[in-house]
Amino acid sequence: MNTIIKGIDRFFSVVLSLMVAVLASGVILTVFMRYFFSISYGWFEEFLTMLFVSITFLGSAVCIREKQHINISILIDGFTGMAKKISTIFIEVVYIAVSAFLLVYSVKWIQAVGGTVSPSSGIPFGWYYSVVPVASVLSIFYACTNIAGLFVSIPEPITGYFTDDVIQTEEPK
Amino acid sequence: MSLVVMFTVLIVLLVFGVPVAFSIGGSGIIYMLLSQPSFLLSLPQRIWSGTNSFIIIAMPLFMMAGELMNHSGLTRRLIDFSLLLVRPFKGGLGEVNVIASMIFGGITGSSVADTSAIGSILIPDMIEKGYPREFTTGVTVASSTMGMIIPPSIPMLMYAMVSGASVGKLFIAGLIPGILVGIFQLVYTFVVSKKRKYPQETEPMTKREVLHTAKEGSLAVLMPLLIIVTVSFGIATASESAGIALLYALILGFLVYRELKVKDVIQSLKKTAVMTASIMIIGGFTMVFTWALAIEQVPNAIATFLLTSSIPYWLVLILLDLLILLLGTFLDVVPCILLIAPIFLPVMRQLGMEELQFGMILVVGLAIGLVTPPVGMCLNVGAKISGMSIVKIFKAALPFLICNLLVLLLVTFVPSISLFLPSLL
Repeated sequence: MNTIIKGIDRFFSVVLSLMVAVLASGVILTVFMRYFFSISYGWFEEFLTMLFVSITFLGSAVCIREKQHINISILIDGFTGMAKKISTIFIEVVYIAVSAFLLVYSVKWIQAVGGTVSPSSGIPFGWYYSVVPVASVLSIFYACTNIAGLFVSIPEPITGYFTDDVIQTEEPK
Repeated sequence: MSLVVMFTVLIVLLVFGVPVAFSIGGSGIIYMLLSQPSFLLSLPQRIWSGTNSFIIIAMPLFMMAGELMNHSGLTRRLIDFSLLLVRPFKGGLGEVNVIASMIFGGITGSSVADTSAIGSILIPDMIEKGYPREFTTGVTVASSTMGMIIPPSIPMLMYAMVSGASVGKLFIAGLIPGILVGIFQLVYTFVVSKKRKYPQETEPMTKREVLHTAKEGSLAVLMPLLIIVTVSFGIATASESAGIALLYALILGFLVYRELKVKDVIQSLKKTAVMTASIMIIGGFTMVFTWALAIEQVPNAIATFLLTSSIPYWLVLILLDLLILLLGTFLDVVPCILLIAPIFLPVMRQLGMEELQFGMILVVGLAIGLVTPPVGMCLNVGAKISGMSIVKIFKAALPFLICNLLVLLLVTFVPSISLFLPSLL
């Protein structure tokens, strides 16, 4: 199981990195095309926006795994032992519940309007929207993984993004 | 009734540590279930629309540009450049800290990145030179609040997304408040440093050293100028400008400073994705919340109450400031913007306030929240670097925060501080 979790972690790390790389290169390319060749493509702008939305949804699922979502932790920071465990399970259950609603209703949404074709790219919107159910399933999987991590050993995710470059100094006693 | 339940659920979830996005989403779903379950059919579409914006693509690109500049040895160069600027005034590292934060804020658009980068170098340096640990950490965290006020600013981008305000005008509107915070903090630092006889930076520099430091520093300063000029004068959109900034950061890092490595770029890609998602998903779920408020006509009800009651306008403004400060104390900047703006912007518009001024009040007010316990992101980073408790750091930062409060009052009561520069465009 741990190999599968590691594999999924690695896969989505690569996918997200590639998506940001394409987004960044794409925006730089649009600047060049517009200023030097006076060319701008509506479909390309649409593609970049959809890429950005996909980064948001898939990245949000990865944030569950890596515990990078923004929260107020004053109360739960004080919890220890069983209280800490219960509060962690509570948070993960909320992730699962919200993601489950999103999964069910995004499938209905895609069934209802997914066939509509984008006027600029000619691509059915359903292709773009499909990232929502995919991200919902991944969110549920990661929330379950986090719950399992309370009872059995699972691989550590990569964390520490915001303050990882910090050099610590000790306060004199 | 459904609305009361929604707010109660939201507060309970937030208090019990459920991430902001999922607290808002969960309470929104409860509202839909209670009022009209068929509303749930629109749930994914609403969340999607909250993230589907070409303007906001600028956010990850600005983040990444700042991240790359940081890996290119920018911080050391900016500190040296700031030293050059304070030398004629016999200033010390305190003043350097404030000036470096002003410039750094213009490059990363993030206060937390500012505390982390500048603090990591200057806090140990200042302590070694004999500055008290409290003062050192206080000035570092307080001056980093400018990061989100001086353009480009990620919170301003989020505000532009929810309010429909022009990014260019918002960026340029942030210049005067940001510079005012800097000037007030500089004056305070200067007076205190003289009174307490803190060391001055008077070591002689050769002409060659001066020229080299000035050249390297000004290349970094050019980046925020490039962004402000291109966005504010309509030469490029916010996203295009962010793309240009990113390209500039890559050129500077690889070809000029030659300190950036391919490994740094790869690492920053994933980091950018995660940071973007953690912010943007709040934007998505907030759309459900905003929609519920609109259905229940909450902004209208508040506006009608304020317009028909005898509460004077100045008191409304004071209450608005207090609300922003209070929420900023408990919540992070972006969630605060996403929660406050949809409710109070329509209200304040009806009372005659322009959206640019409202945006500036929000940004300047919420910047203070970064340094107030219990939830102060800059405070936490400062605590990690200095090894001091957040309460001690907050006490040390308090005099500097009074400078921020003065600017908040100015921005609140003198509209031209926010509106003068945008009116020239």
